[in-house]
Amino acid sequence: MRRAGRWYTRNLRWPAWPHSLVNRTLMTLLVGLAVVQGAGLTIHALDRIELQRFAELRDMGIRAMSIYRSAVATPLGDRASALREMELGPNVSAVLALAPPMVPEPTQPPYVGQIRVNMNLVPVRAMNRPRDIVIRGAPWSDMICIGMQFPDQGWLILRMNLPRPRPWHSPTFLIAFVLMTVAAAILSIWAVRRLTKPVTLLAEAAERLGRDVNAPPLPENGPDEVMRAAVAFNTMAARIRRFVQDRTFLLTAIGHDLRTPITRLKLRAEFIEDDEQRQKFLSDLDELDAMVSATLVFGRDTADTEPAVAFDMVALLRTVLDDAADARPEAADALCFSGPAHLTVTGRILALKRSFANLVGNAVKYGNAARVTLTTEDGMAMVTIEDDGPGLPPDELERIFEPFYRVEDSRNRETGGTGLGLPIARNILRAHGGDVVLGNRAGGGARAVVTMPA
Amino acid sequence: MPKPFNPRELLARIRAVLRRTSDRAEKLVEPAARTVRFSGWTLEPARRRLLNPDGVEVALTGGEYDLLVALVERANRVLTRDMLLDLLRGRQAGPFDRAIDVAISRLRRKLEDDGRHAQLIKTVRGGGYVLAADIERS
Repeated sequence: MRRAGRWYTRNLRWPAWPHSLVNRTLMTLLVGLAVVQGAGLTIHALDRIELQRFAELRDMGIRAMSIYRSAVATPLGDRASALREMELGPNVSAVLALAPPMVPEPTQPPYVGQIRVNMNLVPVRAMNRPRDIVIRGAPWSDMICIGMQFPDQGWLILRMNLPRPRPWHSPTFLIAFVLMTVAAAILSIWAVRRLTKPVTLLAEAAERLGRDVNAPPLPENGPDEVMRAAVAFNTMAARIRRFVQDRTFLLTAIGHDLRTPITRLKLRAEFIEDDEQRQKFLSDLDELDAMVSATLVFGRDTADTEPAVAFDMVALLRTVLDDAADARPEAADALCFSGPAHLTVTGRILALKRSFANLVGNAVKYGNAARVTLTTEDGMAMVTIEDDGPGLPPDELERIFEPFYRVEDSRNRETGGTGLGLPIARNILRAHGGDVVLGNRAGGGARAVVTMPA
Repeated sequence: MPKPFNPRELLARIRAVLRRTSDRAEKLVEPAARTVRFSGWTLEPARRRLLNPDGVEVALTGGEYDLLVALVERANRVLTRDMLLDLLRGRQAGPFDRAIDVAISRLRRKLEDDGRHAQLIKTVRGGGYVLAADIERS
């Protein structure tokens, strides 16, 4: 049972079953082509067999009548010996009988007609004409049997073996057929690839747009339908871009406008007499300020115009770690890097620096350590950042990337933070065709894994 | 000081600056806008970035950048620890002597200058560093 089940599953997912549009279209076309070619071939073969048969039947009629004429001219007693000596031609046997042939089945009318017409072509004296003619055997079978009744006595029975039909009469026909099929198949492959290429391009463009709203537009050329699709896609991309820009602009405008009142509040807070109250007031304002700053950074990243440059990833990571060490000298010993000496990648260096700074900053803040490892694999650079903290609740590993979302424990004032560090980091990395995921280490502590095209 | 700032800090800084201005040494960091080349490396002050001989950008921390600019500005001249300290003051916490050495060693690593046989940033016995390279400005 188990075995049968496995077989079933395996065959449902038959690896040769085409999944791509190119292969499916190709398969449809080629199967269609094969059916058409097969049908054409069959029609041709049947036609050819038919013609061949007609020719044979005509020939047969004339030969049968010629034999009969020689036989009827011979006196009754000598006919048997005369027949034996007669040159009958290939595949023909002749016997004398008293009754007409009973086997095989009677021949259908059109073929009977063909034989009879040709029999009449052979001149025979009227008194010698056969009194009756019986023709049996289908032209598809191997043998035709013709019985002719002598005017005086008995029947002449001729058995004629038919040669096998040869529909593939000429070898050039087969060669031509194969060449035609191959040419049609090659043309189909070429045409299908060409026609489905815009679909692939469209999919790639959609993928790019998903990563980077400012991705270059699709070229608007090609056949009408393709061009229309490209224009529609570009229009959609432009609308999305404008939408994102408007939202970002709104966000940054609000953030920016909030700064002035916050600064004014800070100034006014300085005049609060009560030391404790003033301190609380100021720390609240600082928090508000940090949130506004993070919002501005978040908005700037989305609409960033920083050009991509080639830079050394190792130097970048070391810089981020050194900055973190400078900011938290007591944790400096828990910050380390391992990886190659150099790795050149292309990207927006300032944005990526911010992204890694956020990840390392989180590791230091919540995990008191940041062990950064850089590896490369299959054209992707992988950066892991591990810490020694309590790790993360498993069901929050994905939600933590939502803007302003914070793990419940860290909502208290001590750790600070705005809930934008991780979304910013992920935004930047995704815009570079990479990503970041969070997980927990087996030995405790969190691990951020960054992947990026190298 | 960047906006937004703490008004108390601003006041404290203004006072500190006023206190210092009388005996302040000449400024070490000139706002050089011209691109500088040394030993194949390119320093672009306009964009605050360093390119290695292959044209690949090498990230620097703020302290490293200021240190490198100071060394390049006074290339082939010895910069004492005190001068460098003045430059990095306020940026680095902790014991200052060590801060300079740490910053120099980081910078050497970024410039692929072997610490023991440094060719680019040489240690001068008796307290200082010198950037030994031909400077080409454009």
